[in-house]
Amino acid sequence: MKEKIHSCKVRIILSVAMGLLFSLGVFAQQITVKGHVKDASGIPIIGANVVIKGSTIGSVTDLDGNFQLQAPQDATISISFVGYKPTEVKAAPVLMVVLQEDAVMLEGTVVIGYGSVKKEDVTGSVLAIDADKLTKGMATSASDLLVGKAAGVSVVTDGGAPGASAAIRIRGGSSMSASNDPLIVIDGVPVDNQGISGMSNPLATVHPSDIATFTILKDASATAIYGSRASNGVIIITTKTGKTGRVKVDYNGSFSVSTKYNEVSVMDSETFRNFVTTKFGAGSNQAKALGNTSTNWQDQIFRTAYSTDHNVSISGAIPNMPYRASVAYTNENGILKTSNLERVTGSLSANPNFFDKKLNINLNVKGVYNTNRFANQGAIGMATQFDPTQPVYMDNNNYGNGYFIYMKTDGKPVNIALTNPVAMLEQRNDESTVYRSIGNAQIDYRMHFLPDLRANLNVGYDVSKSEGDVIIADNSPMTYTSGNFKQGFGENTYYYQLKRNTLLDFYLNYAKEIGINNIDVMAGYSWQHFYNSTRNRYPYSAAFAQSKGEEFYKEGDEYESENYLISFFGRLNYTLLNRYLVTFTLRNDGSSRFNPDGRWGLFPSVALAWKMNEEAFLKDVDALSDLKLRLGYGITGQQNLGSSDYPYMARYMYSKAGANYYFGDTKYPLIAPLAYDENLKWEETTTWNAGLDYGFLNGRITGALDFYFRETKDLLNTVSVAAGTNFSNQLLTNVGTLENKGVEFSINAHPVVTKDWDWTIGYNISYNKNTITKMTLNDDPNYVGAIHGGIDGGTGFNALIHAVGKPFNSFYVYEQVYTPEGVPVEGAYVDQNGDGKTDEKDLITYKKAAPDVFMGFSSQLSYKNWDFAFALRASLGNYAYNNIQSQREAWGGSQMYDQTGFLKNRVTTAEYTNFNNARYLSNYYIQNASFLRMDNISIGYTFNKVFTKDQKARVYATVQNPFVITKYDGLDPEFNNNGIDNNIYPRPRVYMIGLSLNF
Amino acid sequence: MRTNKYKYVISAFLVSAALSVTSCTGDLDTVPLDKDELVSEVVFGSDIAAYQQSIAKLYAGFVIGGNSGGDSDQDVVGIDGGSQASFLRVLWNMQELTSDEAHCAWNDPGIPDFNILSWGSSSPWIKGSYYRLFYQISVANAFLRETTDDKLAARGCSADVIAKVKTLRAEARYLRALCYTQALDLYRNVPHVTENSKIGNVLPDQIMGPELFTYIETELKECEADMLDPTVGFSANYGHANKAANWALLSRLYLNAEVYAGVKKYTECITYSNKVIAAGYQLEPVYGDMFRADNHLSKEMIHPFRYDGDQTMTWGGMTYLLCMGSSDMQTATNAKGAWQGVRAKSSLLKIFEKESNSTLDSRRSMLRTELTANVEIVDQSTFKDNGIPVAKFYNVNKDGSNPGSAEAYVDFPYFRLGEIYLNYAEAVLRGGTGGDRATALKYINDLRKRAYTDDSKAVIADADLKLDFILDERGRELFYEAQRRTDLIRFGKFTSNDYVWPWKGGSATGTGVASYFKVFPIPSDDMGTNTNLIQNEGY
Repeated sequence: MKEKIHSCKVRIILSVAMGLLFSLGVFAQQITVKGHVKDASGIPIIGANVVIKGSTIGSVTDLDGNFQLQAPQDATISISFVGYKPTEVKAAPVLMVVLQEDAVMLEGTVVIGYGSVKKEDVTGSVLAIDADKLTKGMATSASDLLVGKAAGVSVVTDGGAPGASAAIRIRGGSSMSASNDPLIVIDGVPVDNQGISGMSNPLATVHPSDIATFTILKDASATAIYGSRASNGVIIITTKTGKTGRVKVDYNGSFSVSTKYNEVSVMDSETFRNFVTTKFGAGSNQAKALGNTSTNWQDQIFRTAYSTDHNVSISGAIPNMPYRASVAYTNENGILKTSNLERVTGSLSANPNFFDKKLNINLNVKGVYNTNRFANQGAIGMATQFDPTQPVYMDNNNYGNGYFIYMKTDGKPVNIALTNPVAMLEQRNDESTVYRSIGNAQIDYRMHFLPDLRANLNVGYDVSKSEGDVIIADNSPMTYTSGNFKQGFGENTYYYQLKRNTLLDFYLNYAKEIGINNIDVMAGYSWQHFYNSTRNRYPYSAAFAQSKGEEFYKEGDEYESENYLISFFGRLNYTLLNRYLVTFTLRNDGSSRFNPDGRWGLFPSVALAWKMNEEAFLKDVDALSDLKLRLGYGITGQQNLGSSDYPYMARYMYSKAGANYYFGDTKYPLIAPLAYDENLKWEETTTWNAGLDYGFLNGRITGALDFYFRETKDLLNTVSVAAGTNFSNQLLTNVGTLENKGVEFSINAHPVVTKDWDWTIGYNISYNKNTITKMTLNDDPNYVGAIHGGIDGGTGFNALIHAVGKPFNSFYVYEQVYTPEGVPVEGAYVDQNGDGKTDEKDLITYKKAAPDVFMGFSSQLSYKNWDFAFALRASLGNYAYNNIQSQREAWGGSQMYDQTGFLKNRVTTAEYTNFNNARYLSNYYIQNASFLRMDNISIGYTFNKVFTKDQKARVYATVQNPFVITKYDGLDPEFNNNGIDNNIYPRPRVYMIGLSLNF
Repeated sequence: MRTNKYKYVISAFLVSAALSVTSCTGDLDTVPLDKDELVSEVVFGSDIAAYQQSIAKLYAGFVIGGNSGGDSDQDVVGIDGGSQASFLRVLWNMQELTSDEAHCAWNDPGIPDFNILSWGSSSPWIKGSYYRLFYQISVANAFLRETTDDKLAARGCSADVIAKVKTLRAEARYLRALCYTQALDLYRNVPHVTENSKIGNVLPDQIMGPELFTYIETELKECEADMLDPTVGFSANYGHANKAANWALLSRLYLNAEVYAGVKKYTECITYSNKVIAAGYQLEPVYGDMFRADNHLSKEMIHPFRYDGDQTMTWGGMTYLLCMGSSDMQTATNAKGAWQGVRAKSSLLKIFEKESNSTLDSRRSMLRTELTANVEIVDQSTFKDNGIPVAKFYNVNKDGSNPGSAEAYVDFPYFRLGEIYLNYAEAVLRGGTGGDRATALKYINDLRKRAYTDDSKAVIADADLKLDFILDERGRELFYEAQRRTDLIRFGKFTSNDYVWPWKGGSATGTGVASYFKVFPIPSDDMGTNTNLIQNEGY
């Protein structure tokens, strides 16, 4: 009772205070307002917000759609609910409010290739994501935002280095030797994501804060309009633009601390000393090689790192010209000492329109200036095997610049020794500077004489220039133990790369509604040019050059090449009765990479959609707000070889430095014929897709379910070629067939909406099964498959195979035999063919690197001004080859002790397995790397009013990568390569605080 | 009104833009932009240079692993460029590690298998060797295809250029025959491709040992006339194979004809050995000088694989032969590294120790027994004090000075006069005609006198000149020169149980192995690709 009275008092005091503040001194009489909120069909709306305009006083409708509050007599009450148009009414004792559905909101448009469609009219498997609604951790690139957010889209970063790139895979990979990257289109410009020298992540040109939406095109009916480049899906990114209204200024800033949270479990100095002594005896050469210090090399190479990120944007509109400009500065330090990224990104957009919006022009320019210092990642693996009984530094040695270095009895460095990991970092300066700009001008003109006809011209470019130096300090330990010379001078490198891609698209679009028919036809032409040039120089250091009298230790080299893509495309959208939809697309692509006889590829697709909820029998089902069945079929192509622009031509290549031949005293460069396949042609992927989009309770629950089957034939594949028939033993040719089957399901729900509480959750799950169905030209049943995947340790060991009937990148290993206690028996493998010996015929395909299932779950909860969000992600059925363990477990022979007199540290499990010899091909090292990872957790508080009510501020704190649950024994179960765990840059745990201001 | 004007301008602009670009499909006809990447019409013209540079590639393919220094831009891919893709390094391992001469302590895949004579078709070394041979054959075929009389005439080559290219064509045929001989020796029944075969995805037929033997013989005889006349010692043509190289190859081929084709060709062996000898080659006065950095000056050299320091940068080839052994000798041999793994077996030492005065044999002194505590290889994967360090090749000039850098400058003597002397003697003992025992004895004693510090202790008597002695003398003269396996097979001792050496067959004391190990298997990669091939028996 007491409390209630107390809270009543407070409320009255507050009301009075508010009234005083907002009624500008006029004492209005308070009345009790009772009301009911319903939708057009009379269904009560639960949880609608009811607020007295200009105040913070309000209420929420209850389970019957009713509300009650005290309001000044002349107050305006505004009622709002997601999916409906906000409504305002005058305060009255009894109110009946009918909210109208917000058509704009439900019928938002989705960007598709060369145009956009209403969301409800999408016929393919298309997913649109509003970037501002994503839960964000530390995002330095567009790809970071997509992690775990979309069914069928897997994003795996390349470790924890600043600006690390990410492998994005949509519905598994459909190619083997050609690229599996999706096509990424930023504001109408397909961008180069092949990588740029000196910049790890090519997507970093756009600051994440500038991104408005992602649209992911997954099935062929959606992607076929991009034809030859769309086999692996398309991601369309649009950036924010200005809006009419007042000038807005936004600021986002954050500060973060990255820490190493685990390390490879190797022996400490004491354990290692005991291990060596126990194995070989105190008087052994091995024991004599032990040092007398104690060094944790992993502590020596890692650090706690601090980073900041700031982004300011200004947007608004000069009459008829919305504009937006932004600039961002990022400074990210990596946890591996010396790694740093510094970046300035800028973007500018202007969208003027003329003639009553008949002529619309979009101008976009984005630029990045990026400097990097790349840490020598070889130090990571080295730190796990460098002798922990040796010191970091040593005095009184002419070699090694003060760093500890192994010396021979003759007083020279051991040139086959391991290299001091700290020196590897500190004595190697690998810096790059990258400039890149993406821009375009898009002119869209709706004909004056025929407003249904629209012409669109898009001219764009993507240009990058990068250069960098790798400078190794003369006389550093590395100059004796690595490289081609081992002569004590740094093998420095200077590199330069220029990429210049240009684009011209033109299309005509005619859209007309004729009675019950809605027709939308588009036809266009596209021309793209890709140019790439590189240059390398190999200079001595200045001091060394002077003493040597030569500037370079090796001749430089350079290369340039280009290719063109020319396309004709068209699309027809036909809708009948706003219920039955058909999309037909056709694209004809020509690539300069193929022989004139086979360079044109025709890529058709067709999609059908049925808006079932518009049918009479479902129209009255109030709970159902959306139900659409989609069926799609299409063919897409692939020509992104990554390797060569001229693979069909008989070509010759001059040799580079260090490869010449003498006749007499005359030096001749070499002309080598290059391998080629003159009949090389398009790789083709056929996709079938069946999907269902659903929505319930006025869109509070939405989602999609999709089934797909994809078959890629004539795979662009580098395979063994019959000896003697070409200029290599491997040839890029069209051979093999690959299948991907999968299911995707996603659900987004808005389970709680009250005045104070708001909770949204999103969940997606994807299953994909990949099978190689053909590998060779002749289907030889005895052919085991293409063995690949070199592993560290012994030259020539391979742990992976592409085999018919198996997923690609399956492991190819022996089946380990165990003692009854479960300890692996060294060198004992199952004799699969029972011939009494274990040899290569007993190798088996075993597990694979790709997951069967991956999931993402995100939650955003707000209570009054507080918000709380997290994002979880899981991957199941993915396995890894633990190369760190397989290489650092055996202790016999030269594996732990090199007879030149130095030791190599072992992992702590070495005592358990007790392997004398390394058993690289045992399936003991193929380990389940399924995991559940909390990507980030964040909490924030919003100040709705800083100085005026238009000025908002939010402060937040985020922890990224707080935990990973996995059975995997290695450092981190996630890799973006083919599943061989080796030398990964550990993903840090990041603590971040940030501030956003909106003025 | 202003609006109207603009809209026509805009329409005109859009339409003309659309029209101007539709004519651009011609852009798809690209040619390589890079000055070093060329199509054949651009590479080959009327000038001799490109033809010389093309044949240089073929020669370099025996020396380095790729088209860029340090075995980058590998010719054979999917394996290690400096080891398995290096012609000489693989050949050496296959001929020496499998024999009574050398042992390697490394655990790299395939290496222990060589030591114990137990290998399979997926060995990366066997794959590397096989594909290197066929790479070389393909490059030779390409050269022959590009240099036909018609093509040269069409390019407007002068008579002088045509004559020079004719010589180069003969060299290409010789080098191709050399590769086929190596393939015959190692794999026996292999795919057969010539300049008339197609490039691309075709499956060549297999040629069996006897037919391949005949093909090689015919080829060598046909191309002989167009090759350069023999030159003794260094000349402007040093590095090019001449007629003497052709004869030396025939000499070696005929000596092994019984193994390869089941026919005795010892008379022919003598004939071609005589031709080589008659050309005027002379033994290098000091045995060890034949294996030094300036051995290109030697009058004993018939066909070298040239190593010229920074210009032939490789981790295989001669770099391997210099670096593979003990670090104790690294400074003395001026090797760029000391990789430790390879040691001589005690069985090599025993071949020397069969002779009472072997301590006077300078060849034996290359076995550095003083640098090991144990001449026996007790443990297969240990090298220190486990077997005998060997210093045969020195990256040092005859006068003791070092060459330009620590990169290898020693030319590998693929054919040298010493071998021809031994071929002659063996062919005489095996019943060939056209030679005689006295000359054979002289040749053998010439080799021994060169090797021994005391001529009187070096010479053998006619009664000592027996086939078994020849095998031992070949071991002493040619050890570590990548010939031993072939010799042991010819003498029936490679797989049999009547001559064993440490770790033969996997036992420390040695045991015989199945006779099918006399030839290597066709690599599983090619078996999986070319369905025309039948795997060698036993594999």
